[in-house]
Amino acid sequence: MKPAPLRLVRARTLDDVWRAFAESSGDAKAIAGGQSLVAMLNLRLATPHTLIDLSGVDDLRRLSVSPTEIRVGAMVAQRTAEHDPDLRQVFPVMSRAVSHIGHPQIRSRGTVGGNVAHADPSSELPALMVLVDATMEVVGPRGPRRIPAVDFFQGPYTTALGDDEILANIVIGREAIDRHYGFHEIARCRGAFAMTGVIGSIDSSPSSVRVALFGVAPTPVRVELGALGLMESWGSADFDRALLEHYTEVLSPNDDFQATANQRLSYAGVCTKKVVHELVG
Amino acid sequence: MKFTRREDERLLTGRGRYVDDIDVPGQVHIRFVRSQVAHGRIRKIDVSDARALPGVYGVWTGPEIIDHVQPLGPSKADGGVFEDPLFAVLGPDAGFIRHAQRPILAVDIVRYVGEPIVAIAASDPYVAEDAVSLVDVSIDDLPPLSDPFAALADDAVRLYDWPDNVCLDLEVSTGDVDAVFSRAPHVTRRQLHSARVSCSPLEGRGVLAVPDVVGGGITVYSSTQIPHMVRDAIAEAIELPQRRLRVVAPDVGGGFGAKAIPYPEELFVPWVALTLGRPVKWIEDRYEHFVSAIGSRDQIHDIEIALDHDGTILGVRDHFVSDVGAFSPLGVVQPYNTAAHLAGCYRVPNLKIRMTSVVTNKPPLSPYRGAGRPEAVFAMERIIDIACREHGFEPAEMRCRNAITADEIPYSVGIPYRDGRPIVYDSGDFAACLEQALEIAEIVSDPVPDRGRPVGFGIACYVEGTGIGPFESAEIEMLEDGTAVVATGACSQGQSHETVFARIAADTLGLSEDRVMLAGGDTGASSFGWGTLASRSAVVAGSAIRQASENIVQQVAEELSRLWEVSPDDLVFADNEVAVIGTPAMSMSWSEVIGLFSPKRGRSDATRNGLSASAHFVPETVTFANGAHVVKVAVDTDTGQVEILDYVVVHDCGPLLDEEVVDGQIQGGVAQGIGAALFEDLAFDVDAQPLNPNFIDYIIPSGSEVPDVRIEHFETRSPRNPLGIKGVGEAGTIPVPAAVLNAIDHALRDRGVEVVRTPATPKMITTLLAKGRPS
Amino acid sequence: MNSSADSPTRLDVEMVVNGEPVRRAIEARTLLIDFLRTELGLTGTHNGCSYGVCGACTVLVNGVAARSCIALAAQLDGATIETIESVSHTERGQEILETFSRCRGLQCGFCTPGVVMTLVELDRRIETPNRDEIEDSIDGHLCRCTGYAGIKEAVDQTLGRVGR
Repeated sequence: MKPAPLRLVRARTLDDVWRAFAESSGDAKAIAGGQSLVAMLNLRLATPHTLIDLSGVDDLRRLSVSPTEIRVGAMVAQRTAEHDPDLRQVFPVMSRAVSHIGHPQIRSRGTVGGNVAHADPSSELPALMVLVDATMEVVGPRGPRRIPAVDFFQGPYTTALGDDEILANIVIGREAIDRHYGFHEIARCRGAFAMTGVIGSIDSSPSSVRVALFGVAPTPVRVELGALGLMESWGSADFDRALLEHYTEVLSPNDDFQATANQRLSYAGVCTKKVVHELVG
Repeated sequence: MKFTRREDERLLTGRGRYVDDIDVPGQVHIRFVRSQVAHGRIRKIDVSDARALPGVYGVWTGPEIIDHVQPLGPSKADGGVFEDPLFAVLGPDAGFIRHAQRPILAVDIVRYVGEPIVAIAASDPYVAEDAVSLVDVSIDDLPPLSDPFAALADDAVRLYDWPDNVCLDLEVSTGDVDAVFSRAPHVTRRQLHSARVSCSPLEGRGVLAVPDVVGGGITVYSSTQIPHMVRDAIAEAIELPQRRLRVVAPDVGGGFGAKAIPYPEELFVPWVALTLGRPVKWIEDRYEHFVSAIGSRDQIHDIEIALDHDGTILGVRDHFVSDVGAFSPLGVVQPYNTAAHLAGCYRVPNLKIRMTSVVTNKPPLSPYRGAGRPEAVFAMERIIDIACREHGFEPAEMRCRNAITADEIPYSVGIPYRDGRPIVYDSGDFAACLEQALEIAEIVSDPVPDRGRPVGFGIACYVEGTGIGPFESAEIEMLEDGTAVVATGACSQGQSHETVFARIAADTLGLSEDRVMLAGGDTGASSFGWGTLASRSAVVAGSAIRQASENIVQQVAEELSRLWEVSPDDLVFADNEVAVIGTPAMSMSWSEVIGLFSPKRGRSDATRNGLSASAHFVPETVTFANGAHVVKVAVDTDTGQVEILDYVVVHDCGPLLDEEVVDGQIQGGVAQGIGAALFEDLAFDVDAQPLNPNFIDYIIPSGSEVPDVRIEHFETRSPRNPLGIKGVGEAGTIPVPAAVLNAIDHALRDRGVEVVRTPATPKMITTLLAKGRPS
Repeated sequence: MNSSADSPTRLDVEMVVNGEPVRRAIEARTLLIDFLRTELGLTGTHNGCSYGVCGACTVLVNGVAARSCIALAAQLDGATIETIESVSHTERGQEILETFSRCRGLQCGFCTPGVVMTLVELDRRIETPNRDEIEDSIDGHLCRCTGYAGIKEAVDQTLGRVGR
């Protein structure tokens, strides 16, 4: 369990990054905190020729929080995002979602951008990004791009990033900041990968309730509970029935070692109800 | 700094020395190429690229080493010592056992995913892994056996040159079971399955072999529970005189059974060291631990119980199948332990147990903490609960009715133990112990829900034969500076031997504890030894140390009573000196006493070590610990998740040598039991490929999953050793799966759920809830 | 010093480890744990899984608990590292170690250095961590021996909360 031979480029600027990508003839990978990637290197599930270390690129470390816009640099540590007092005040769901990633000893080196770009289908932050319509600011040698979260996640561990692009910032806008949030996930034990989880939000009326689910499809799934009219039956058995019907249609959970597809589907309902309860009582 | 245990200072300051912490200049590192298919015929192995890699010192395949390192036969732990007497007692019709030889590196056939095929020595672990990735092994698939019942089919592929895939078939009985079952008012029968689990000590296995600078011998540091057996196995495998071989178990990061057999890697590494003339190190990684260290449990019981009208147990009939994987190094130990402990705390006048061990293409199986007893208790205590529910008995009351009481001790079970001696419970009051646990737990038959979750209580009781022989040794050497060196074959993997064993010697000799040094797990310090396993060390090594200490006292008493012309009975051994009672003037410090035995003082009859003694404690048979666990759980019926709300243990291991050490063993044992009850399941697919050989999918409980156990001690003395004690190392683990699953069933009593397999995962519980009848 | 453009397979790294400045040329793939254990001989930090789950390898990186088995040493140029070997250097560290021993927070001792480093970080925080964070931190360590009761007790006594 040791990495295969590799080259490591310690980038200081984005220009260093582009140069390294250009010189690596296609077999380079950016490394952020490495909390997933180095484990994969140890298992030799990943054997890139070149790693481009982003930890020295100060431009990627900025966190700015205002009541109208949040910008999280990709290299902001998860624990920073979890504990930043401004962020906790303005957008507390971020801290809550991050706190479910591994344990504090993982979140110290793990980064927000690294987690998002890893696109693990059972991970919390991609679902949050989809729920809040975050904008993924992507940079590459051909210039910057802004990708809506819903288009960013393309499959398990697959994103819209080009081979020589990196995620630079996550931008969350005012509409999302002003909403209220609920969160619930089910995992075998604390810190383990979620079997299923739901993050939800509300504006003012129940008809604005929407949720994003993780662990139940190749990518996060957003469901407009309010707009679909599902909230009208909240509190009755009809809600459960209609929800299950809709989830059966839009979710595609896996059978695996930890949970059956049906169990995940059922968990999606359980989590959703907890979240909606948190939002509307 | 002040530390409670003598081991703690070095372990807490980063100065512990586990095998991988020992570095010797010039050492090279071994990595193994392991089979990725469960069953196949090796067609071709191409190691040319690996050999050519700079930094590689050697590459070996099975055929190249077979003449130099002998395959592993069955371990002496059963084959040589207990197996023969047991089979002699049971008689020729009871059954048979077959032993397979375990190759060091596979030759022609591979039999499990993880079996070593090629070994590579390189300058560092990184290069060794690079070389591993350059080896090309072609294997033609053979049909894999992933299920013991499929392996029993007439047309199943044979794993060995045997008529079938059975490596053990044995029956043991007492009374007339069949007659009882034909007339019993109540009979309940179920199939109950204890899943395969991994020992998973936090430190894996590891070996460092260092050729001596002079003399042609070798010192082997191994992360093992049994340095003396490893020494014997290495000596035999590579035909090295034992005298030239020293095996040391340094600090060992947990064992639990995973390190209680000699392994192929352990025999191979010393041979490479002698071949290359260099120190050679191999450190197991976590994947290797899951696929090549032993797994355990993996028993499926077809058990039935016969009850009288009032719930009295009339008889138990059980046939269980063990899936032992490709090899079963300790053959009879685990299944026979299951049989020997099945009746447990209860009067079972009629008992018939058949055990069948089947080879499959899973990794080898051997005892893990509890060693067959958790499986027995799971079968027995689950069938009791299921029968109580089926026939309308109250589980707590029914158990109290059937549990053996103090006035029935000594109690004869009617079948032999695995050492061939009859099972006779020597101490305890099982019913009183259970009643105490029930009272502490405040058990009720219809507990109120906890935040909407149904709540249940589960009970499980157990006896445990502890302190098995054949022997353990202790040698004490008194040094001229007034200190004592105590050497024993038992070695510690966290059991606090340095603290507890030193105290036994110190108390007897009247020395302060800091003047006693313990040398455990070093064949250079003690020629004889058996090892730390089977809840035996405190009993057998502790007794040997007590006896050796008493021998020293006796030698000194004889000498001083002659010198001072007093009765030996008037001598007091305390405060680092020997004195005549009531005569302060007549006293002598230990260093002066020791000098009396030295040739420097003209003693031509001085023994090799001056004042010294050795003792070999040979127990007549095991001594029985017992206990009762009561657990309270809440089950989330939406998610299938189980929370343990309360856990009560009342345990009888006799007088406590160190209450905190005993409690630590129980608390830690319960944690492992909770793992087996709710989380741990080393699973394989139909091709016998491991599904979860990692800490992500094979979940070991962390702090939030393990409650603080409420522990009470119920002390009855064992008559079978001078300390009056019974072992405690495994006890905490034994009844936990049974108790927890009983509690889950109780919690779900209105929902038609019956859990018949460990672990009770959310996946299993939600599936059962979906099938069960709603309340 | 290497510029970022030469991207060699061997790199210079400088760190301050347990208060001592160190500088080594290492392979780019060298894990922090191997840098500490092999290059610097600090073998108190242990490897239990190589993928960041078990926590035995936990050290402090710039004052914060992190896994040394999934960190590349070359990514940590300029970092300050603290390992178990440094804990007894301070009076407070000694108190923590004594508490761990008194509460029977260890048996075999293999996972212990990692747990202690997590506790050292929790203890050093200016704002006392809340119960949830403490549990989350301790859940980041697997211990196969103690069943955690002694560890929890040591944590509680160190952080000044008796009675869970």
